[in-house]
Amino acid sequence: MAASTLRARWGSGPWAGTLRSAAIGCVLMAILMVLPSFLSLYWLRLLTSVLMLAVIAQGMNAMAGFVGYPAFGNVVFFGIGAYGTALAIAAGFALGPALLFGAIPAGGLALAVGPLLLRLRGHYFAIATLGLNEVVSALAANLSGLTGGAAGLSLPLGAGTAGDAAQRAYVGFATLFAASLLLGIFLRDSRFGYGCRAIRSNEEAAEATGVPTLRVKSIAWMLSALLTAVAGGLYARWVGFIEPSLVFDMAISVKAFVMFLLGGAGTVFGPLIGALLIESATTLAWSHLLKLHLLVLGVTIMLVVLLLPDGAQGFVARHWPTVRDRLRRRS
Amino acid sequence: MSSSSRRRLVAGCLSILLGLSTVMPAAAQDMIRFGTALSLTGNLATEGKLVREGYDFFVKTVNERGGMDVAGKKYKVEIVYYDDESNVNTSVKLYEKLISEDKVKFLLGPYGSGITIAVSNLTEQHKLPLVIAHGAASTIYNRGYKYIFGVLNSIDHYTYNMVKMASEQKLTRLALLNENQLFAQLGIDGAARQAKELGVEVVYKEKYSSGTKDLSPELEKMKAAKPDMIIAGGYTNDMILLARQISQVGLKPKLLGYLLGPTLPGFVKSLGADAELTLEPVQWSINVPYKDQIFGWTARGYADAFQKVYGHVPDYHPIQSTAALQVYYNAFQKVGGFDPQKVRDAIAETDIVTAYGPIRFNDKGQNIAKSMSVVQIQDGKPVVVYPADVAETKLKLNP
Amino acid sequence: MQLVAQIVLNGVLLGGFYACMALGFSIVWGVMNVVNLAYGSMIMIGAYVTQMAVLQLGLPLAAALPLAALATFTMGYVLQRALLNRLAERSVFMTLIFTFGLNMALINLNLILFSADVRSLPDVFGRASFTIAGLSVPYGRATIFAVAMAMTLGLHALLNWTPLGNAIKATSFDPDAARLSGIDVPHVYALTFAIGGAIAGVTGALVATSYSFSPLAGESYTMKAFVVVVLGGLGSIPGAIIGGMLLGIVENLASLFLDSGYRDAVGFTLLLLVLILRPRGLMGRRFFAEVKG
Repeated sequence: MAASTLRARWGSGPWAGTLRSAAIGCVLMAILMVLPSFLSLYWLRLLTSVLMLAVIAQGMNAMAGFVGYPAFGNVVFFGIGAYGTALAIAAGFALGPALLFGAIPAGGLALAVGPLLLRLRGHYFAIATLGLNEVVSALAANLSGLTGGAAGLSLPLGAGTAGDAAQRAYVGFATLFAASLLLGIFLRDSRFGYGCRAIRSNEEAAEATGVPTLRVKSIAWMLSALLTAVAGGLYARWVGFIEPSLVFDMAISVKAFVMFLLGGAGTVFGPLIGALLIESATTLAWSHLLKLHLLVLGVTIMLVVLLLPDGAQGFVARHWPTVRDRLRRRS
Repeated sequence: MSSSSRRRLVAGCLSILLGLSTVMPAAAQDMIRFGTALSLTGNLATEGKLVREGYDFFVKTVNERGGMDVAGKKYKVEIVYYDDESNVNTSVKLYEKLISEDKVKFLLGPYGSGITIAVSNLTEQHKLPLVIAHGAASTIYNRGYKYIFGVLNSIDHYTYNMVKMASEQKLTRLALLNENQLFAQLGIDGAARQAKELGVEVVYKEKYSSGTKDLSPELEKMKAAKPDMIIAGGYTNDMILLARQISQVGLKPKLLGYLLGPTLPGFVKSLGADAELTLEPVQWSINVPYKDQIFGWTARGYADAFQKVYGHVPDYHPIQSTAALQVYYNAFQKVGGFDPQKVRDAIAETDIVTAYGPIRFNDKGQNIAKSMSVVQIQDGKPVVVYPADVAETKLKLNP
Repeated sequence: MQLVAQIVLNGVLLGGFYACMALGFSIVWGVMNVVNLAYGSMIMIGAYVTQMAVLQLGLPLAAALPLAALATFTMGYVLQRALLNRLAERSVFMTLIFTFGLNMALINLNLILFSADVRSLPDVFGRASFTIAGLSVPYGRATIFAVAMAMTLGLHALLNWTPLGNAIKATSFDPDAARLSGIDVPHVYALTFAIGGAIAGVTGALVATSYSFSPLAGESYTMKAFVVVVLGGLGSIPGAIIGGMLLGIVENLASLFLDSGYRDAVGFTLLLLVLILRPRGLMGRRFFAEVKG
C-alpha cells in the first residue's frame, strides 16, 4: 500500500482516502476477529501485545506524528491508566467503568498541563513530558497509602481458565486498536486533523490563518492520553500486577516512538506496521539468540535508521515503482 | 549495505511475519522437561547465572545416574530456558510459550519478586504447578493461590535473625534504610515489625529513590538518631555507595546488616575495609547440618561436587535452584507418574530434608520448615555467625 | 544549621560531579543536535577501561584516567565518523533512536565482556576527610570535584582559545557556512563527539573509584546528564556547572527535609519549572538545536 499511491488517490475525491483507510481497517478487524481460533495461547499473547503496542504507538503518533510534538513521556498516561483502573477494580468496579477511572485523570492531566507544556517546542517539549512522567511515577511510588508504593498492586485473578483470560485481553485490545485506527483516520482527514498538520508544518503560519493552535494541540494531546490510558488499564487487568517501575517505564515510550517512526510517522497504519516489525524481531531474537538479543535488536534499530529513514511505508513507497516495473517487464 | 543484504533483511522480516519460526523438537519419550525464564541479560544477570548453574547441576547429576527414578523407570531430565531480560512482560510471554508451545508441564519460578507475581497469575490460571526458587516477597504467597510453592524463606524472615542478634547483644537503637523498591521495602518493613516484637527501638526509618548518587542526607539524619545497629536494603550498586558513605559521614554502628550484598561477587572486592564485619542473612550456608535424603550429600558435599563442575564455591542461589527440582522429583516419585494435578497435590504434601534444608509447605505455599542463617564478613571472607548451631565463628561487633 | 550547611556542601560536591558528567552530553547535543542516549554506556566503558588499567596493568589511577579518556575519545570519533555523520541531515529523533539502539548494543557487549557483576575499584581515598569551618569533606569527593572543575575549565579554554574550538563553534552555528569557509565539517563533528566521549571516559574513571558500575548502570547517568543539561542550557559550559550544582543542592535538601523517596521527583519538578519559566535553560543561548527546532 504505497503512501504515494494513497496520496494520489486523495486527489480523486475528498473522502476517497478516508474510505480506503476505513476499508483496510475493516478488513484488518475482520482478520483480527478470525485469527484467534487459529492461534495457540502464546501466539495470541504475542498478537495481543502487538495490538497493545500499536495502540500506544498510535497515541505517540497522534502527538508526535500528526501534530509534530514529540510527547516522549506519554507513558505517564499509560501508568495513570493502569493505576486508576487497578485501584477501581480493587474497589469492586467492573473493568468497563474501572477504565474510566484511569482514562479521566489521564485526559484531565493532559488538558491541565497542556497549555503550560505545549508552549515548548521540539526537544524541550519532549523533555518536559519526560519530567512529567518522572514526577507522577515518583508520586505513585511514594503515596503508598493509595497505590501500595513500591510493593505494587496485585489484582484478583479473573474468572475462568487461562484461555478465557487471554481471550478477554485480546478482545479488549483489539477493540481499542479499532478505536486507535479511527483516531488515526480522524487526525489525518478531519478539519481538526488539518489544523494539526498545519501546526506540524508551520505553527506561526497556522496561528496566522486562524487555527486556534493551543486548543488544537491540547485536545490532540488529550486524545492521545485517553487512548494510552485505556491501554494502561487493560494492561493492568491483563497482567494482574503493577508496580511503578513497570507501568511508568520510559522504555515503553521509547519503544512506541521507534515503532511509529519505523512504520511511518503521521500515517494511520504506521504504528501497527512498526509494532509488528519490532515485536517480531524481538520474539525471533529471544527464541534463537539467547544472550545476544539486545545486541541484535540494537543493531536492527541502528540499521533501520540508517537504511529506512522514512519508515517502512516510505521505503515501500520509494521502491514500489521500480519493483512494479520489473514485475511488469517480466510478465 | 548492498541491495542483496537489504533484500535479505526484508525477507527475514517477512518470514517472521508469516510465523515461520522453528518449533522445539518434540520431547523424546522418556524425557521429563522443566521450563523457566531466567535473567541471562538485564540487571539481574549475575544472579541469573548462579540460578541456572543450580538447575543445570541437578540435571547433570540426575542424568549421570541414569535419570530420575519414577515408578521403576528412568527418565532423563531437560530444562527449557529462556532469557526474560529481567523484564516482567517478556517473562510472562515466555512462560506462556513454555506452557502452550513447548508443552512444559512443570515450571520453575523466575528470578525476582515482581516478575514472580506476574508469572504466577498466568500459571495459576493454567492450573500448573510453579515451584519458586528465587521469589521471596511475601506478597507472592498471600493471595490464596493453590499452585505456587516457594522453597526459600520469604522476605519477612530475612531480617529476623539479625534483629534477634541485636537484642541479644543489648543493642537497642536500630536504624532502617531501604531503596524504594518492592523487595527492599517489604524486607525493611519486616525488620520494623520484628524490632517491635523483640523490644528494639527503631530510631530512624526511611526509603530512598533507586540510583541515588549521594546518600549523605539520609546518613546524616541517621547519624543524628545515634543508632547502634543499621539494617539497609537495596540492590548492590546502591549498597556499595551506602557502605562507603557510612564511613565517610562517620557513622560507627556496632552492627551493620544488609538484606543483600555482602555475599554477592564484587562487594568485598570493591569495598575492602568498608565491607568488613557487615552482615547478610542467607538462605543457606555450607555449614547447615542437613543430609540430603535424595542424593545423600551434606551441604559441604554438595558444595564440593558443585565446585568441581563450575569452578567456584556455590552461595545460596544454586542450591536453592537444585532444591526446587528436588521438590518436583520427590513429588513424581510419590505420585509414580507425571499428572500435573496429582503432582501439585503431592508437592503440597512435601516433607523432605535436602542439603539445602528441610522443606515443608504451609497452605500458602511457603516453606515453613527452614530458617535462615546470618553471615558476617570477617577478614574479607563470609562466615556464618548465627544461629549458634550452624555458626562457624563468633559474631564480632564494631569497636 | 550545621547539618543544613553540611548537606548543602555535599550537594555542591555532588553538583560538581553532575556538571562534569553532563558536559560531554551537552557539547554533543549543543553542537550536533545529537541526543546521545548511549552516553551512560560510554561512561561505563570508561569505568571498565580504568578498572582494567588499574587491576590488570597495575597502573596508578592518574595514568588510568587518561587511558580511559583516550579509549572513549577514539570510540566517539569512530562512531560519529562512520555512522552518525550519515544522519547529520536527519531529524533529531532519528539520531535519538539510533543512539537508543547503539546503547542496547553496547550494553549487550558489556554484558558479554564483563558480565553483569557490579564492580568498583577499592576506594583509594578511603574514609579520610578534612575539615573546613567545621564541615567535613571526604578526600574522595573533593578529588572528583577538583577533576570535574579542571575538566570544565579545560573545555572552556579549548572552545574559546583554540582554532579547533573556533571551528567547532562555527560549525555549530552554521554548518553550511563553515563548509564554505574550508572547515572539514565531518571531521569537526567527529572530533566534537570524540571530546564528548573523552569526558564520558573521565567521568567513568571517577565513577569507578567512588561509585560502582555495571553494564546496566549507565542509564541513570544518561538521565542525570539530561536533567543537568536542560536545567543549565544546551551547549553552555557555565550552564552545566550551574545546572549541576543546582540539581545537587536541591536533591540533597529535598532528601533532608522531605521524604527521601521524593528526591528524583523534586529534581524533575525543578526541571519542569525551569522549562516552563525559562525554556532555554538558566544559561541557554540561541544554539543550533533551537534554530533547527
